[in-house]
Amino acid sequence: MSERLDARDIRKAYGGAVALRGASLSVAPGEIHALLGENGAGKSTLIKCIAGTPPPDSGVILVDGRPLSASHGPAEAAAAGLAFIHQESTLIEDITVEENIAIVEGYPRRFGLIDWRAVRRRAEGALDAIGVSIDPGAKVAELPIAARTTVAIARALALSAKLLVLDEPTASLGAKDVAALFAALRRIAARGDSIVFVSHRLDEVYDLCDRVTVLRDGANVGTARPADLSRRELVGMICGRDISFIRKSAPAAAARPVLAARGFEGEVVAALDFAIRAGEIVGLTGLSDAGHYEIGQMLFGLAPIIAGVATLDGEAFAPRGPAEAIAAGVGYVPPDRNIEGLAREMTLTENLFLNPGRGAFLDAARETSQAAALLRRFTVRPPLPYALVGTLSGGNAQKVLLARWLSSGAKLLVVNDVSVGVDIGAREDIYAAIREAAAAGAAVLIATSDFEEIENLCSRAFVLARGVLLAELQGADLTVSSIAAALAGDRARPLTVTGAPA
Amino acid sequence: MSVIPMSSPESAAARPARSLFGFVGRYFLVIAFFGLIALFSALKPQSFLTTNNFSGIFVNQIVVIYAAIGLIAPLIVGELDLSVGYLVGFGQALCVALITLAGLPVVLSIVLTLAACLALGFVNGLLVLRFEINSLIATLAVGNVLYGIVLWFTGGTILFQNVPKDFLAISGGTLLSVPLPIWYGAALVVVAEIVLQFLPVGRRLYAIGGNRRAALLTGIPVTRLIFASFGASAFLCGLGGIIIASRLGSAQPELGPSFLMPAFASAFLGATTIRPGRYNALGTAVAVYTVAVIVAGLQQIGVPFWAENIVYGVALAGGVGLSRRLTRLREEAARRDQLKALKESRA
Repeated sequence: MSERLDARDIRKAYGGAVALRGASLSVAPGEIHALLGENGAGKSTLIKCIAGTPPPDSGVILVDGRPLSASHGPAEAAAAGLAFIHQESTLIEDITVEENIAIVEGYPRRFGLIDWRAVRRRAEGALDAIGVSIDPGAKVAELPIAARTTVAIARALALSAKLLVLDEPTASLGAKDVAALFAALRRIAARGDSIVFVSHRLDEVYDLCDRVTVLRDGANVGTARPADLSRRELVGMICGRDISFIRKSAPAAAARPVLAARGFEGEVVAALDFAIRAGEIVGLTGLSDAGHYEIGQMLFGLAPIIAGVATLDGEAFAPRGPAEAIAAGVGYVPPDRNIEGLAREMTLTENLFLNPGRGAFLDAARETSQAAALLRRFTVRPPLPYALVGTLSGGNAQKVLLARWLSSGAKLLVVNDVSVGVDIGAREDIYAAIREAAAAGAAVLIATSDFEEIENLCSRAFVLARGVLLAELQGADLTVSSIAAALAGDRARPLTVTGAPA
Repeated sequence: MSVIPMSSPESAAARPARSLFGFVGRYFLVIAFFGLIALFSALKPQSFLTTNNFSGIFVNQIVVIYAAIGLIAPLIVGELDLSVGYLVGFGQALCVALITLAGLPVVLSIVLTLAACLALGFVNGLLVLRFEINSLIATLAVGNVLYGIVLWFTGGTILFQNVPKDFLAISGGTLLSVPLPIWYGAALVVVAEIVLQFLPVGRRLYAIGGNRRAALLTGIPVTRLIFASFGASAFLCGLGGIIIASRLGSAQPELGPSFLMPAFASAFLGATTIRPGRYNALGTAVAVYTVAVIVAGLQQIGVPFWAENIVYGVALAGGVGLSRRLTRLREEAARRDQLKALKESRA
């Protein structure tokens, strides 16, 4: 049986820098194939070379046994049946799902005019083909992100794609949305179409993928079945070094509480009591609408505290905005570093000291040396104070944002989705930095829907569903499966395939 | 300036002035400025290369310096201000009208004029922030209302009678044999440079322009500073208007709008130099004079009067285009360096 995709000995250099030194990838029909590697390993370059944006310097790419021309472009790749779904959506948000499908597939016509009923029928057909129920008349902007990804996939398949390349499709999805997306992907693979799946989350790879190819430094490390590899072996392949999974430290005993809240109530969160001690790393988790992010927003003055009282270091605390929260000693690492955290066209130094506090004048020399020290301490690569943030990879940009807050001397740190789009090596560095900050006496709240992160990082966690506390887990009882079990106990919510919100 | 490649890992930094290419890119406009002076001086030595001519060019452009540096305050925080030209016109007309038509003392007239301009800047801010009108629309609207008001209280005629000597002295005198307006311009450039580059508030303004949400989340009072930017822009336009009214000894109702293009061209062209990719005061001043030298030089070699508008238009589009291009090149260079550093660290 010929391979669906067979890319052999792909080489690519940008200027003097070699990005790919003979990488290969082969995917069988009906296979879900994971492509793994750290940032800079060459995953995205390999995908771009296959897509023809731009084509490789040398190498052969066969699709169902037929070679693509050496200087193929995106049009030729699409004609051969390859489709690429990127993190950034290629859907137009202001128009409906059916129009988004028609805009690439072509508008069916009747008497020379657009036949809107046929537009609807085709969209329904495309969505039914992968077994999702999304209203074709809904505006894309109104859909949850998971549904947008499925629309993009349905659209690609409607254009007779035989191989889908998904670049971190789960990066901003909650656990339920991931499950729905995976169900759709499995149906697609069962029909005989192939999928290349790029992700930083290993549990997803074990859950979904038939085989995995690992790249490092622009070349193949190997291809294997996930079942044949231990987690540690796989991480070793990705990083090229042995990364020990540091278990979380035991909860600090009898330390003073930094934050105590009683009857805390927001728009979603309902009557929550909790306290965090100095040196503790506490998780807030649940599905994407659990309200766990809202708690952090309330503590940072970004969302209203509707009822309840909080004390920070024993003093009443109800910030009306970020400035007040910061003054009281709260730090906040926002969930989306590019939209909420960093100014991409400013330098690393300026981003570290975006709101320079004390002192009448800026001391450029001191800032630069402080920045250089911070960049080294947080292992930002490369540690260049004058580089622009926009040129950093996701993991390194996240480290800059983290360095800003972890070095601010905040008593309470709210850290949201800290490892989204971050490779495994950088993630361990980030976790180490957070543990270090806690060890230095900060109280840390980790808000995320990534249960693995909660298990790895937190000594205690609150599991919420629609603002209601389901369980408080700690120590050895805090695992991915115990979180999932707590959520499964939440019977009130029917688990359905993603659809348009009401 | 060092053009020798350094061996420390820091040498890969995207700090433009550290390479020859970066140096030329960064000071291109400064080099062009002196090059153009040399060119026109060679072409027209008897008329271009005279103290009178230079003094004329420099003094006449002070009002543009004020409008353009005023304009960069809103530009830095990511807003447009199309009322700058109209505000200059409003400032000069109001000040002269208060003195000559209302008979108020000179100092009081100046204070009232500046207060009115500041208030108008806050009106801009109010429309943009409170009523959420796009700044392009809001400031265009305010500008046109101002133009109408100026035509109303001047009756559409030039006010030149009964302008007192005290008022003319503001721009008429010299200090250390340098005309006073040049001192005013220099003072503004120095103050603006200090505020934007060496005070925390400057960093906060650039942060708002860089990522407004991120700025808010670091505790920066975003709304207040955007308000202040519109206020500063209008206040400086008012000052510019007073300076030019004093120099001309009259108020000309049609004058204001003609400063819009020079101010925009200079602000955008200025962002290509000194601190490339960023609106900056010194770069803006260099741009004002580079464009002015081109206009004056072309006039002296006999290019007709309408060339001025073409120069401003080309400078505006060229400035924006060049600025984007420079940013792009810098990003590419930084990315290349980064890949190289990454490979070296793994090797």
